[in-house]
Amino acid sequence: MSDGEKLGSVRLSQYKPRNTGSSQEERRKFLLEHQKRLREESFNEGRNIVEEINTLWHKT
Amino acid sequence: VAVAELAVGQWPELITMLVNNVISANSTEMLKEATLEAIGYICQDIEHEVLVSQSNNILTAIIHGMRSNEPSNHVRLAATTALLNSLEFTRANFDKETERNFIMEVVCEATQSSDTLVRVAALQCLVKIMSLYYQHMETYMGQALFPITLEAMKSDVDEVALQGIEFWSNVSDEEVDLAIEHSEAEEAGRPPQRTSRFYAKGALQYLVPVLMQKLTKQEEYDDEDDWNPSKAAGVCLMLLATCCEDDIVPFVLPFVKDNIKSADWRYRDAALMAFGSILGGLEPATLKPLVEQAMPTLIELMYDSSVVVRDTAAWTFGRVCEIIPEAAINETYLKPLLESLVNGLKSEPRVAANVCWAFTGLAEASYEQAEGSVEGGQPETYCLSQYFEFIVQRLLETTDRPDGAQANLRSAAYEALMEMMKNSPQDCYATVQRTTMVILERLQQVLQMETHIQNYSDRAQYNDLQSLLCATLQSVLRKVTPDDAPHISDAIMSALLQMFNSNSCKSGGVQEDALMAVSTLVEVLGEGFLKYMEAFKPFLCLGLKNHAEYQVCGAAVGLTGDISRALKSKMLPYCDEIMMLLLENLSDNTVHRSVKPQILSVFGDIALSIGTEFRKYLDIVLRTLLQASQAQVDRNDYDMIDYLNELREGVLEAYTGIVQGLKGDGNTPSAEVLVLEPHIPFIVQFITVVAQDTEKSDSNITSCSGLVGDLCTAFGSRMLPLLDVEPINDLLQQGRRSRASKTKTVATWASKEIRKLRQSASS
Repeated sequence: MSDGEKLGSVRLSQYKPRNTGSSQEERRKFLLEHQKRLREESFNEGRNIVEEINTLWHKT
Repeated sequence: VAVAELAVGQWPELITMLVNNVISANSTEMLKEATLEAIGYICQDIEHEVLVSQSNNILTAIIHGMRSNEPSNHVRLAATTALLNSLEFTRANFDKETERNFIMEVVCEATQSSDTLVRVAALQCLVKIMSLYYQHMETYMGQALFPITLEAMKSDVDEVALQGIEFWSNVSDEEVDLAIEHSEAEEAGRPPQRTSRFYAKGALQYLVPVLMQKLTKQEEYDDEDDWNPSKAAGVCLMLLATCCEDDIVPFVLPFVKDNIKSADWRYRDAALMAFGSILGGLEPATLKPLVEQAMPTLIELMYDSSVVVRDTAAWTFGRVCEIIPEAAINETYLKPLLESLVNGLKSEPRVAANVCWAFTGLAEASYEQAEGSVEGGQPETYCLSQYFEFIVQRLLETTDRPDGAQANLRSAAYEALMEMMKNSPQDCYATVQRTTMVILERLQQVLQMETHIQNYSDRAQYNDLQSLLCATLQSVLRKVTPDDAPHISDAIMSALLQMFNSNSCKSGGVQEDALMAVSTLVEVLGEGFLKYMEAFKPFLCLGLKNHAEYQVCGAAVGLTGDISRALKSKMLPYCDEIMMLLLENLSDNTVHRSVKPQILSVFGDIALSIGTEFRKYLDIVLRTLLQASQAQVDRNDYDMIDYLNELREGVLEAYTGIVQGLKGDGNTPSAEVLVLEPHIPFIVQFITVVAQDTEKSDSNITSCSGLVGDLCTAFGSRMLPLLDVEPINDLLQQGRRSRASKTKTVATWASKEIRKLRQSASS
């Protein structure tokens, strides 16, 4: 690919840009974060601090 | 050959030989051209450091070939192309004023060549020089670079105009980076290393009118992959707006006002494109009244006779809904806007795909607005509620359009549908239920279609559709209430199992989305998932063994954690086989590294679920954790530092699950936890290493703090001498001062646990 072609393809992706939201990558990221949150919640249940965190979470 | 040999110090005479070929008076035109091409190829492919010491020689040859008195355009072109490829390693020459002046003079001269190819190559050099040597360009900007590039932008020769526009897109990019660098330096209380000369801001008044003219040169039936000056002007305008922010408005707005209602579609579209392009750079206070004022005209343009204009209007709404949704979500315009968007869904695929994107932004912004007015949880209603069923119905119809493969329409429609479901308030639940059934029906129908697949393209579309259906299933299932879930779970699971069994799950993408759908079902069913375990386990194991497609393997690992948390002690019968696979994956070098931290975390989930039964895996798991906790990475590589933090997070979560699981739920720790005692010094040592790492993540602080507290509650006062030490106290203090409420709470809790131990020790 020449410099010109490279340039076109990079800039072309910036033309009428659209954030398409929930692509598979987004779903993957969302699920990973969600799983982490659920895991932390189950750890915090054992520490009796779930309520406290949830209250703070909604306040922030 | 040169690229291979020069890199290892061989063929030292080559460059001198090539230079002589170019500068010798006896060389033929063909020899000079071929030699310069060879130099160009070498410069393009070789590691730049290799040629740094020879840059003077190489530049001599190149500049000789580029001079205006060189009679052959072929030679000039080869020389200019070679210069383009050598710019990275000629930094030393650019640092010397006299040499820089000479190079710039020759390049600028070449931009005036009568030969288009030479002109374009010289302009490409200027674009690259601007990026690489921005700090040296002040002397040349006013006298040379600005007039040369402005003239190039105006050119009727597309290749020349494209380079002129690219020069200013590049300047904008560079100056945005410099602005970021400046604010970072300011925040850190130090002077920035490089400073912006604000060339873009200074040139706005001259650049914008030319860009507007270029915007009006749209192709009516262009291919979406074609790159032309009109598109380049749109991008450049957007970058200039990001760089110059509100300063661009007075130069753009008159053109928009004058042309938005023009009789010529090209001017209407250009005006709209200009408006949509600058939205991202403006301050909300400038933006909101501007967009509100434009709303009636924008809505009108959604019904334009030109498809190009409708496409840009729909795209502009997509931008508005993303950047300044509050301007669209207001009582006056919402209804006509929704009508125009729903109407746009029936338009050409490119228009409809942009409309779908607008719905995505609208759904998210409307929900956020409603969320803001309630204290936590799902809002009861929102501004789209009365239109929700209708919009969803139209989106479902759009996903079924026969031309849905064009312009990515089908995916865009499903993604809008997912966003509508995800962001639905309580009073739209009936529609969510109905949509769940529609998606399920479609999933069943699609599974019957497999036998009709005839070629590669059919297969790709079929796989995409299955992936999208699984993804939509995930968003509807997240909304389904725990009471409703068991009524539909049999049908969902049977469809998913059929899918795992079919050929489509040979595609990693489909398999991953299907596993993610199962994850959502597990969460909503909880222990109720147990009845599917026998049937599902073989597919879970297949996923865990899928080392080639690590995203699938990762999804299976995550799902294993979900199932453990859902089934709790009922997970036990499945643990031997699953633990074996997880351990195998950890020791297998072919398994992608991103999966390994996740596996460690899942050890924590399993340990917490099966409690004392985890003892049988303890030796091997603790050995594995010890190994993982000793991992080191290259500290100059930011990605590797992130990875190390993830790996440590996995280790911390595993230890936490094990400690909590063995300790049990009761007020008094179970005696089983004592089996961990010999390992405690290693755990504390690990916490200390993480605590002392200046590059630890906030999440690491939370997990370390939690584990410190867990050790206190599990082992009592014996832990005090080990945990009440400076690095750990510093870590807890850092956690208590964190901006993240979660970290703050966990660190405060752990500090209290240590305090309790101190008090009981002193009493």
